[in-house]
Amino acid sequence: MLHIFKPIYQHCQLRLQCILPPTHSPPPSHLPSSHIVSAAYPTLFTPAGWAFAIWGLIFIMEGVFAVYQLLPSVRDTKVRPPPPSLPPFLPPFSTTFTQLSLPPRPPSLPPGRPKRRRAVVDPNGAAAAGLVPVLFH
Amino acid sequence: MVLLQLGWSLCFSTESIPLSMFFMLGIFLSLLALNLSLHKTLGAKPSLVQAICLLLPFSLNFGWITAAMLANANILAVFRDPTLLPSHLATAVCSCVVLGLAALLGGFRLLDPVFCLVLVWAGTAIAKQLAEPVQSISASFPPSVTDGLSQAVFVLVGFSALCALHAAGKGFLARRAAGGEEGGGAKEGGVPASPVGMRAASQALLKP
Repeated sequence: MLHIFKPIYQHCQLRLQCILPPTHSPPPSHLPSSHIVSAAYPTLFTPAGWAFAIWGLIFIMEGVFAVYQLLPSVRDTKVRPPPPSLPPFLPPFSTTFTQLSLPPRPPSLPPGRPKRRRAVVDPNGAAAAGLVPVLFH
Repeated sequence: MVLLQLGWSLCFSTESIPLSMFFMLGIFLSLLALNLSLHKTLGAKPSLVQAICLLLPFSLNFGWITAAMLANANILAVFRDPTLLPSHLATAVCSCVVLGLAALLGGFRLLDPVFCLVLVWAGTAIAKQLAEPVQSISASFPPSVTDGLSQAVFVLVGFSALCALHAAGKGFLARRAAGGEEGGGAKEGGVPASPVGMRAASQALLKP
């Protein structure tokens, strides 16, 4: 079942990553934008306005990632769950969206046969975690 | 993650600041988990493409979210009581400490120079803003406070830059050691890229 959803999910990821950030970031029109709310609460720990230009770089790099995860060499690799050595409170955060794209665990191979190389990273889990940052526009 | 970000955006716009802080913490933890997983999975020797396409985007995002979370905590302090100036100052000082600890984590635990450099970027922006504060801040705090805090943040920026340098140097050395080990290992039957292998390779080099 998951092999049907995986490509759909990957394509959605690409579209979300490339199209949503510029259009989605402002809240609904009747609500004030984040920087207006931020200015209403002046603090001693507010970055200068030019620093928020980093969002452009973040969006570009996440767009690069979204395209990269669609490359056949990455798309067709097996994925593996997050390492078990994460601190105990973190796995729920890293696996919430990851499970959607995980293929079934491959059957254990008989001894003597060479082990199949598995993917180095779970691109979909990473994609899910990186979707559409909307902070401080 | 997407839901957390949507939740943050809506809560912040409707000025539900405590709830927005909750969502921001969720985003931070998600990115922390993601970055730890990526670093553990890719190890010390990701390829150039993996480093650019997999590590870089999320390191950038994680670094900026770390700074944004601290900014959100300060906004929460102002939201709770706008007149309680000592509390605002204490929150800002604590945020600076957390920023330094984050740089320490990035430079010595994650070995992620990009994360540290984003903290350098954010810290510079905060220090610049403190050096030329907005009207409401300069009306509440004397220049000695804002200038002093600005200089402290500049020191933190230098510290973060050193952490970035350490992470970059350590990563470079690990990559070089692993490369040399692979070259030697291929001749001697393929020693895996591990600390044990590195130790064996260094002992072999030290032998007369």
